[in-house]
Amino acid sequence: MEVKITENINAVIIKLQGELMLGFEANDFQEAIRNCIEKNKKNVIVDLSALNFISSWGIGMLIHGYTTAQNSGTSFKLAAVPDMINETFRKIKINNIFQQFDSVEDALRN
Amino acid sequence: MNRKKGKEEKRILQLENKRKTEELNQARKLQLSMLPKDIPSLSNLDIAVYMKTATEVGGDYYDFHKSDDNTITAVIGDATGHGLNAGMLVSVTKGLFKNLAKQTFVNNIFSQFNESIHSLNIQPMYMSLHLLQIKGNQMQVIGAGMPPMLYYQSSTGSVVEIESSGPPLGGFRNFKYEKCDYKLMPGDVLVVMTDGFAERRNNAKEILSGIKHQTSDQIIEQFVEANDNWGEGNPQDDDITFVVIKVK
Repeated sequence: MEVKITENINAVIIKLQGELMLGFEANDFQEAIRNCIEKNKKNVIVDLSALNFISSWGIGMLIHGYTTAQNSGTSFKLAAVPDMINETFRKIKINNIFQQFDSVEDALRN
Repeated sequence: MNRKKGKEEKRILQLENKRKTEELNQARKLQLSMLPKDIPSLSNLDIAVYMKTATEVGGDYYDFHKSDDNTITAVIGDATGHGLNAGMLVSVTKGLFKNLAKQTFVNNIFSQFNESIHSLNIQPMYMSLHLLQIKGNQMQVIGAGMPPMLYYQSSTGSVVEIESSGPPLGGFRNFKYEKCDYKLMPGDVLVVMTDGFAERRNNAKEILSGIKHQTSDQIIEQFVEANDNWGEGNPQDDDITFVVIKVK
């Protein structure tokens, strides 16, 4: 699992690659969200296009990211969610909690 | 001088590894100590349980409560994380279950679970959980963040998936979890599993379609075999837990 972080003027984009499973990625992910809030950026965009699998731990990490961002008035958006991951979200009823966009570009525009 | 420094660093690293191994062992012991010593025995239900823990400390948990009127309340869950925090969340969940299991309105039980875990503020830790309450042939089911539960209905020979009604417990304060009600028939089978087995769901449904004359233990044996074949010797990343309940 890799966490790749890029920034632009309004957003921090966190790209998760591989399998979100064991929890060692949490620090990078949470730090990116904290940085985004501290720098007063308006959006956290999590790019899931290269994610193959998500465990319950990964779901917990996304929920935590979402609540941290929301509590500080920052938007938390998911981009390019693969069908298989979205099916997992749907089965545990979190698909409607997250704002979802087809691509990072769409998420930046909206 | 450098050689001496290198030796010292190696010694410190070894001590640190030893400490971490010991910490993981303690976390594993804590997790296992949370599990019930006995599976409840009822004249109308055949219950079996299986748990295979991963190398890394996971957070799977199951438990039962049997009331004086033979109502059985079962939970199976998975703390969304690993290590000591997962063990801590499991112990909190067990404490809550011991206090809440006697209640008969499962929506309320879940609201209280959710509120309590949310108030702990040990994010990003949440608890995925399925709860079943069976009284006679009436069953209430409620789920949070768990893979679908499989329900084999003997009258039609079909398997239906019972999905969770909301996200893992503790994630969203005031979330309204809704129960489902079912009328159980002799020969029906319920399989509740944690996400360590999620990849095998299709296999699981196939296994369930041929289990008419098997006990819950035999059904579990088949799941375990399917799991081992699928894994082809690769290490197990997460705990795997099943509870199988067959209506006699």
